[in-house]
Amino acid sequence: MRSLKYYLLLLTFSQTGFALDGTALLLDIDRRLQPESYEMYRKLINIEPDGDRKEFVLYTVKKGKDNVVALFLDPPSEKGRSSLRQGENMWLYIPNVGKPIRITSLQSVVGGVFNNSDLLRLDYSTEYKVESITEATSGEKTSEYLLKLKARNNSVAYDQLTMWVDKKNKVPVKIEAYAASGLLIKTLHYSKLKDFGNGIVRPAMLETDSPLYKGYKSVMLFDGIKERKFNDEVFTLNYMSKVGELRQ
Amino acid sequence: MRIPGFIFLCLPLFSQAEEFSFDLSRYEKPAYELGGYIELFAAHAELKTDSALYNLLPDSTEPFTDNNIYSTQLQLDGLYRFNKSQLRFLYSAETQHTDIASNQNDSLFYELFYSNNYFENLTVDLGKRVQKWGKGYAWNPVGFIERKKDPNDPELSREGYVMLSGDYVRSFNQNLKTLSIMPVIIPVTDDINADFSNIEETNFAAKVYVLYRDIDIDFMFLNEGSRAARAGFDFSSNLSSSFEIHGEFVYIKDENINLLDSSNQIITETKNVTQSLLGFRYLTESEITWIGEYYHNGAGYTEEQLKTFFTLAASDFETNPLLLPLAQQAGQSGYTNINPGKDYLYISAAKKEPFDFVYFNLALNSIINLHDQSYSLTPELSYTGLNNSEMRFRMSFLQGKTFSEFGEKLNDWKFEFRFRYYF
Repeated sequence: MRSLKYYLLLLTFSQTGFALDGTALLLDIDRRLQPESYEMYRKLINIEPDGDRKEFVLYTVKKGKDNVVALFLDPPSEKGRSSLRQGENMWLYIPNVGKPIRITSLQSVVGGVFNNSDLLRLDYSTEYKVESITEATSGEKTSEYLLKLKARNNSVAYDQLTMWVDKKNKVPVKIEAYAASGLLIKTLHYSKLKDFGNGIVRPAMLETDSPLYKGYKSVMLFDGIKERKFNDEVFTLNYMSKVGELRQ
Repeated sequence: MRIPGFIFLCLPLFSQAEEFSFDLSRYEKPAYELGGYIELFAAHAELKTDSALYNLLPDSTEPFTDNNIYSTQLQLDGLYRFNKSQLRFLYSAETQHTDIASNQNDSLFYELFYSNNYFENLTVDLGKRVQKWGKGYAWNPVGFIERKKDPNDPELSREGYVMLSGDYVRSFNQNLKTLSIMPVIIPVTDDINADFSNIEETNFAAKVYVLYRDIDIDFMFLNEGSRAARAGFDFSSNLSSSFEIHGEFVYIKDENINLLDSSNQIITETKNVTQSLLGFRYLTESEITWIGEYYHNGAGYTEEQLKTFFTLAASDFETNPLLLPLAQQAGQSGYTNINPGKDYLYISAAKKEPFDFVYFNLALNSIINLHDQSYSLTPELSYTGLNNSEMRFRMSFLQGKTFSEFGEKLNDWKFEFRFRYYF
């Protein structure tokens, strides 16, 4: 159930001429992308320059601001691997290793463009603060907001984000992720708006490319997003080998 | 009517979207799950014909100067879900040929247990299963109720023991974020867990885990029974987003240590010992993962004690045939264990996607005996780019002076290739 605060936020943005509030907009974007506590399925497709593909399927659950766990359901070589994030702490469980080990946020989990932080992403408003908000202009087109975001601390994977936001649907269209040095690390393109039910209308596809991986591209498809409550104990090391049991 | 820019941006993507599909129904939770892999393994080793362990090869062995090993393994893992419970198993079947020994065929369940989750915060397991304790990568002195891992290949599957265990977990919104308690009962009889120890007892062990602030801490103990009583702890924490430290410490009361006396007989010395490990994992800006670990084994052999054994093992058994069984007995008593010494260093550097080759992993591992300065050096290259498969190429070089641990190993160097197909 959406809170009164959330409706007030929507009302705020429906008023023309009202000063732009980037922080409120970022909170609104987060809630439109997914509920604060949810379950979700994702297919990750790594596409190589010669067109070869490698596909991964993940089941993800999240609770509150900073508890998230992702389990690989496919391919068989990765099946049963799970990654847990509690704030800045991250662990990886590999069935053969048989116990969780601490990992770092920037490590690539499956090869290719995505790293741990991408797979265990928290709300944008949890990791970033808004430095500026403007209306994006491209010729006559002013259908987007342009947000400049800065990481709240140095443990966040990308130091700065530039986010283009669709004005009407309040969802990101494109995000550029930069390192502290100003180097462009990757560009994310959200697309394929879809109604997932229960008021969740958001892009169902995310394409990512990176100048660091020339010719490679990653596509993430989203499905089965729904609000769901979980016990806190789901987000502990003890549960990492049993995450698959949460599926219904 | 204005068309939102979002739609414009999406147009080129929608055209590609047709080629991507996601059938969610394939990933609903099934009642049964079955997976695993088939492994093909081949290795060629040049033998160190003047080493002490080469000298211990059985008489009937032809004077080989090299050794070829071929093996095929099937590993199956599966589960069956029913009434908030699961029946889980991990099964392995392997056939192996080596030039210097007879062919081996092994087939057994590494794990086969019943798991009950009737209460949300409590899991009860009964049957044969693996409990891996500790934070160390190469060694785990706190692994009280598991078979020792091979530091040369720490991720290899290992056989479990028959046990009854519980795991109760609670989370809190304070500095103490997680608390879990795991009591374990391990019986040892002639028929059950006979290789845990030759002393028949019902053994009790427990592990208490806490996540305090951002530090993982475990406390564990094993009572006196089939093995000497021991207690210890481990910890792990990230000092920064790219630097992790971990450690383990164990105190063992009245540990039995088998030693060679001056007449080459095995005597057993009983004393209290400590074992400890301190390590780190560091991801550099160039995405090289460094792992370093120092391991102290208070029950290990000193350089002088190992030298005594290697001197015996290097004896001329043709002129002194009575020494061969003594040397073989000493080897089985602990002198030929994996890393039998007192102090070791493990160093590993791994680079994912070297030179931007996606799905490749390049690594270099080394284990150093700090007392005799002998060491192993293992470069490896793995590739996971083919769907559902993994290939690994490895070389191993062993270096050390006469009567040092790695200087007296059977192999001089080894090349191996492993292919796994997952299903």
